[in-house]
Amino acid sequence: MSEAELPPPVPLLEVEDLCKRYEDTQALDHLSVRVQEGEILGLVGPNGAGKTTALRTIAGVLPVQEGTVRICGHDVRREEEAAKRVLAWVPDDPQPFDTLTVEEHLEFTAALYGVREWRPRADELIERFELSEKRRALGGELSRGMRQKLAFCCAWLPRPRVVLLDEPLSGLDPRGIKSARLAIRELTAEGTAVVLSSHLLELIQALASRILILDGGRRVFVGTLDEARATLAPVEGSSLEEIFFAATGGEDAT
Amino acid sequence: MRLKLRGIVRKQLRRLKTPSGLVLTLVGGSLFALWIGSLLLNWILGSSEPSDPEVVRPFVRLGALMMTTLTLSSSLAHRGLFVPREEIERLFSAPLSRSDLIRYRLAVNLGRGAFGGIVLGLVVIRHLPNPLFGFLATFVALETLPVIGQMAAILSGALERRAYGRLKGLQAASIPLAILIGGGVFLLAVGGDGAFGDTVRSFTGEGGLTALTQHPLVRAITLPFAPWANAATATSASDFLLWMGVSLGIWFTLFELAARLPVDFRELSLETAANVAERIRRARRTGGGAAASKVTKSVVGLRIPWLLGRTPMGAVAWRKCGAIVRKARGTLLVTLVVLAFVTFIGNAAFADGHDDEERMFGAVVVAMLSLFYLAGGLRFDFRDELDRMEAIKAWPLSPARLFVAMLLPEVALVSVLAAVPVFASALLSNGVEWFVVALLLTLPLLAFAWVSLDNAVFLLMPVRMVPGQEGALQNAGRSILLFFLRGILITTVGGCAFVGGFLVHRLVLELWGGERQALVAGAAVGWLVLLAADFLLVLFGAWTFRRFDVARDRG
Repeated sequence: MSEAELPPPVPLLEVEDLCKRYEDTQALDHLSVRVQEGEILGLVGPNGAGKTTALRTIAGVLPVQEGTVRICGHDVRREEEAAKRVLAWVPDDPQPFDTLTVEEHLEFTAALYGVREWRPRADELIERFELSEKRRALGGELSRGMRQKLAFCCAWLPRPRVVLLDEPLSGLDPRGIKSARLAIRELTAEGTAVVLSSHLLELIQALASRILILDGGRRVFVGTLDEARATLAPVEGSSLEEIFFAATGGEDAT
Repeated sequence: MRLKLRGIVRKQLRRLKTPSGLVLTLVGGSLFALWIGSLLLNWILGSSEPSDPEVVRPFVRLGALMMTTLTLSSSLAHRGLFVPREEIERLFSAPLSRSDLIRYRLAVNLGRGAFGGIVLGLVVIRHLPNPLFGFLATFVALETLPVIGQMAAILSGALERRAYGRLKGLQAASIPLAILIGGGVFLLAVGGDGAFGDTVRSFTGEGGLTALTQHPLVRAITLPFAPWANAATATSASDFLLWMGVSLGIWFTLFELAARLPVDFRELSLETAANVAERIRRARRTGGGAAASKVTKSVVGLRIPWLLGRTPMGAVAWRKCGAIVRKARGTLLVTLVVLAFVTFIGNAAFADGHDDEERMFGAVVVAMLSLFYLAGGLRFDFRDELDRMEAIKAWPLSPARLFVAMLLPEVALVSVLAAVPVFASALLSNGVEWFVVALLLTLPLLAFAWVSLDNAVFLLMPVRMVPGQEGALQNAGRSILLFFLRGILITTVGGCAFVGGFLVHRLVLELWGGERQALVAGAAVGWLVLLAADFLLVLFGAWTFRRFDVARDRG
């Protein structure tokens, strides 16, 4: 069988016709998207577009009202535990446990996800996210940036197949931003699928393989940056920012 | 002030928009109306014989002393002028004089105190010679306390730099001192007839509380409270007007003095606002109780036991154990004192001379009292996790297993602690009898039922109530609903277990005739019924966890 005849790879994340309604608000309206192995999907949209709702529903934090979410083939409604075991979710404001130290957070995560030889991996992550001096610090003593780094360590530890990141660079200093970007890239190099939601369009432009633009809970566009330029850009060679404003109907402040 | 009042009203009205908010407000409001109604009815239908002002007056003075002590004690925790964090930056940068700022905060505090003044006024009128005079004087006295407290807070703040250590020591000592005085007076007051009263009197002499109020030292200390006491116990209009005029004069003088104190309180106020905001945040986040305690670095060395092994369920239980080991130490000390008190009461219930049924009833009462106290104070379950529900819902565990793992460490702790007074009371009296063993074996199941019901209701209607914050009415409604629900559940489950156990006991007795075997079989069936009830509660709890919506159920 030639390479052209090979079946397309099974997506690690499949979302089909996902709907979510809050009383009189349609937060997600028939959202469908697939993310392949090693791919970074950049999720952008104005405030209230449904980005966090989409991520929370995929993570199993919010119930699936309508539609299907599959993670590595596991339906989050029917095989909830199996789906969650291969997924990591980093919310926009991680809240560490104030009674556990940084090291104990990793010990807890290892037991929760059934990681046996966790210590070398934990040491490596603590080193990589510059938390070595905070190993024995309690969760409540950490700054916003440190909390974010700890959330990365816990997410990375079980080597998840799918990682969902909501505003992952909030509160990080320039050095932290650099190492987080590098870590996300390395994660995808190992075959993990990443969904990255952010208002920092430059970050999405630099990291994402494909872009999903949401507005009012509906998918406005999904594809590569080049495809977005071809279909949505007002002028040739437009930036993601220009494409974003063109797609969501807002005005570019500049 | 107008905007603040409008904001409070708007928040209250918004709470009525949700079905649960409406129901809880109605229940809380009805409860409050019933309480006030019962106070008034009690007064109207009660004894018509007027109280002797000479007898009542020293008690009023003593009561005023206690309330002032408590006010001063708590005001030392709010050094400077306390302004909530959400207002402080705006108000301090606004073109307002310091005096106006103090007057504004005093007005807010007086508004809050007015409610307490009305309620306490209604509570005490039946004990005073003239209800109208008593009510008005109590109201004015209660409205003077915030002014005294504010003055003390500003002055203590000003003195702080000079004698910081001493003031901190005074602050630390004032609360236990106030508790000691309050506890002593309570013991004197309840030390009526019977063995307990005799014990108390052996310390205080025959006169009890009356003798205490007549003591020259107590009379001297309570002298400054004479105007309010005289107004509250006045029997003629002229007397009342005279002493009420003096009380109002004192109030006005203190108010203006507080407003004109030449103290720059801004730095301290900023610090106090931040501290209070942090305390409120912690209490909101954890739901209060022992779980709201601050964790310090000193606890890091304490190892956390892996009770259920290094499995996903074990990890959740391990983390909860960590919270207990590292947060509950202070609360556990207080708990031990309370349990010693319960043991003391239990000992009276188990004492010789009572028959089997009375001793069994005593043991059950001790167990239920302990459960009630412990389950309310040790909330290391879903109730201290509202801010982390987003992360918890993403954990790779089924809702039922997660529900059990979250509750087990707390249930184990509550069961062990609740067993202490039951066991100790039994040891101190007739020894450990069969019903004590049966009760000890049943305690974990009862504790689990209790805690899981509380958690299931919390997940259905999450509320983060902080004393002194908005939503008191809804919280009261919720508490009373939960109280009845818990009562119905425990009675139903206990009744089913008892009936099942009794029937099996009779059956075994009829068929085989052995009393011992019949008792064991009956107890086993009762135990299994409780286990089945716990299982059903786990399913219910898992359902409530599954339907919990992190985007909506924010408390």
